[in-house]
Amino acid sequence: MKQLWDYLKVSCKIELENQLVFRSNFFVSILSVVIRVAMLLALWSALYQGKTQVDGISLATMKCYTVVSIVFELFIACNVEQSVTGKVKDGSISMMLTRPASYPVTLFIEQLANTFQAVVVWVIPYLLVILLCGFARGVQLYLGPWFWASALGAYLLMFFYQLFFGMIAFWTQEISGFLQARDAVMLVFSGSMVPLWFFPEKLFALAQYLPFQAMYSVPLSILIGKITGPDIRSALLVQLGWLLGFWLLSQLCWRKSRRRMIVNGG
Amino acid sequence: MGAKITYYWRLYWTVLGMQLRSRMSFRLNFFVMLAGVFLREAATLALMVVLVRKFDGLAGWSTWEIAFLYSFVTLTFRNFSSFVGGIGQIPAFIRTGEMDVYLLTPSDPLFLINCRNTMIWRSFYNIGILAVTIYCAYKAQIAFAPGTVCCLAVLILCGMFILFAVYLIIYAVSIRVVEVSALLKILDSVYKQYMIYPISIYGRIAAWAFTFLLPLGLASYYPSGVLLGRVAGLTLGWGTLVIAAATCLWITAAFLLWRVFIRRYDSTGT
Repeated sequence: MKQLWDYLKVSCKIELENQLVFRSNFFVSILSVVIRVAMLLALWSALYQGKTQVDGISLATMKCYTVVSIVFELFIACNVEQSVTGKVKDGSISMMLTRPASYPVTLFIEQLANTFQAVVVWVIPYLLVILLCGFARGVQLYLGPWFWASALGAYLLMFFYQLFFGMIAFWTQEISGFLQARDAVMLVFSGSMVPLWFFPEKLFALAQYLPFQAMYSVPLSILIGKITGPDIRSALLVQLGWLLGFWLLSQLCWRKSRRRMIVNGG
Repeated sequence: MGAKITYYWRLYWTVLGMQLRSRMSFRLNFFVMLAGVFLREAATLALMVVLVRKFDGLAGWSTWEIAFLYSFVTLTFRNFSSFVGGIGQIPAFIRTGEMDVYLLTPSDPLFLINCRNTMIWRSFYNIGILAVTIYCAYKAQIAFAPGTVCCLAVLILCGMFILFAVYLIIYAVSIRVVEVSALLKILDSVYKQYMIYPISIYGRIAAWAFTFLLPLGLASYYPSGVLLGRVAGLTLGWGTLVIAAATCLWITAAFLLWRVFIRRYDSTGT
């Protein structure tokens, strides 16, 4: 356990240092999020022109949803698929097996370090911006335990989901095509770009059967009070179901994949 | 001159063949990737239509006009990435020092880098996007006269070259600053996610910046606007001419800047 803790500390340090290697690039990346926020807010203001509410959602709530969804996206951002695929392709995956900790555990620690860096560099400054610029003004936000539980659930779900897709690389070697196709579906049904409640009924119903809404839409809807009361519990149960499903699938794939491993020249 | 063209023509197809064969090592992935890109574009278009319909239009533009603007932007970007997007590898080559290899060959380094990394096979789904663009143009009530079709073709080409110029300027800058990934990320997301709406919604300063400073509006809002008759003071013919002239200026500026910076290239570790 101590070894894992030490590994986490070293990984956090490396992730932070990596961010600051090219300083100009780092500052431009901060600017990129500012531009994104400004343009999205301008877009929603233009859409709401002459309207006070659409589907019971006011412009203030929508602006808050937009800004918070960007911060949330930075928080649950995961790079596990690329990491696994890269190692499978160049054969360095064999080195991972010689380590004392299991590969999925190592990946999880690296992911935690990545999140630590994201929280320090991105999430905290943007939360301060949200508070200082008054994006949350006039909006009733729910920051109780159900929100934190759903945010944690979304984080873990994203990890196991990406781990499962990363494991597919053991069979196919290259999965970038599958990821493109999957990202297209995710873009629509996660609710990160356009909230699901603006969807036509049939699309909305379809989104409920997919795991993507449990990653973005559920925690964000709980936060802005779109899901309340007993609906929170059922939404969290669905999220838990997806989480367990992807955890089982990724474990199964990991066990099977070790027998299919090919390293360069082997 | 003739011999030089023949040389480059042969070289283009030879390098392209090599690249296609290497891509075919993962055949299933290759085809799924093509389908995936198409699916992604379709999904974004569907999302945008859902959104604009819900709000009964945007800044006075109807759903189909916005859909036309979106398909135009997508077509321009896809043409750019299919035919000249190979230059996207330049920052990576500069970072790793691989640029040295291209500078040592007798051929033009930009040409070689482009055909070494170009994704011309993707152009087959550009046909699909073109069909969507034409359908959206029809629904947005653009009259299809021969002149309009010619202007549409010229404006698509102009958009492609404007993007080429903008990206080339950033790649030239990468020779000095090495890491430009964040800048490229901004450019990609601004063009693909926000230029699909009329630039007037972002305010006057942004509209000015997207016209004169970072001319992404010249590859999106203005060409679509002149085709839809939504740019005040510019008819289709004049609008096309102005955009074509601006494209020539930007291309010239980009090549000049590239030449200046590439002379100062100092490789890695030196």
